[in-house]
Amino acid sequence: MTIPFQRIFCEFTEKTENLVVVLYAGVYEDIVNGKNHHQHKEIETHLDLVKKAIEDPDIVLQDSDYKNRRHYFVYFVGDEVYGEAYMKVVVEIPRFMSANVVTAYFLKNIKISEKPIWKKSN
Amino acid sequence: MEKEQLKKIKDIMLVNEDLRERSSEESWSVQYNKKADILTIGTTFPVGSFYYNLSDTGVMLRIDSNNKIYGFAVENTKYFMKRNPEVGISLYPIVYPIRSRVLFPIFSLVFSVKYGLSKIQSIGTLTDFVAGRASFV
Repeated sequence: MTIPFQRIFCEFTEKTENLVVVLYAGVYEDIVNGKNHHQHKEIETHLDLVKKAIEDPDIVLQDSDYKNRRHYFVYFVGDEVYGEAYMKVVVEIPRFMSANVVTAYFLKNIKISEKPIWKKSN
Repeated sequence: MEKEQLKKIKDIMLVNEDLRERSSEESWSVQYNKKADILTIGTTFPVGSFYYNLSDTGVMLRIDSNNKIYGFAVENTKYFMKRNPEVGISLYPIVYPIRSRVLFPIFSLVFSVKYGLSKIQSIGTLTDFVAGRASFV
């Protein structure tokens, strides 16, 4: 049995905003097994990409609706199962707790309307 | 970029002409993740599928490399409902199940009272009409 607040990982976003981002076991279970939404099985096999998106993202966008949410993107070249896409990690920054991963999935294209708050320089 | 996306969306829709039939045959389900505020609709998303943003609408298509659609996701559903009330009304019971359960009886009561009042009003008008006619006889 998993403890909901057990940490799957804890990453520091020193390149972008100096945040400590946590992925809790409860959220991870929800994402992978689809307790409250359809399964995002890609997270199970590509957890390293979720970590990389937070630690070393290619682009960070401000959520257009929620002021306390950021979207971390990292480019994925593809493998034998998944084609090239971005790993998108939605991070929520609560007022009194450490930032935490809300959901994550592979996304082919990035929204144009969302404001970039950080971009990797080539 | 916008043109490219439109072309891609057209290509996806061409592959999925039977989407409506498939959605009923495959018995698609609707699920709402309150914490992430994301609504997902569809069949089980297979391994190898990913999302494709439908422009800036907030709706994402779950497709595979052959552009076959397995479902949809609505990002920031509560805000999406505000922006698109014509669609939002159908999503209301899923996003706000408790509120809907409470509000539905209230609405039905209000409507029944309103309907009852209008009935009384029409009866009243009819009575006035009859009374008016009677005074001329």
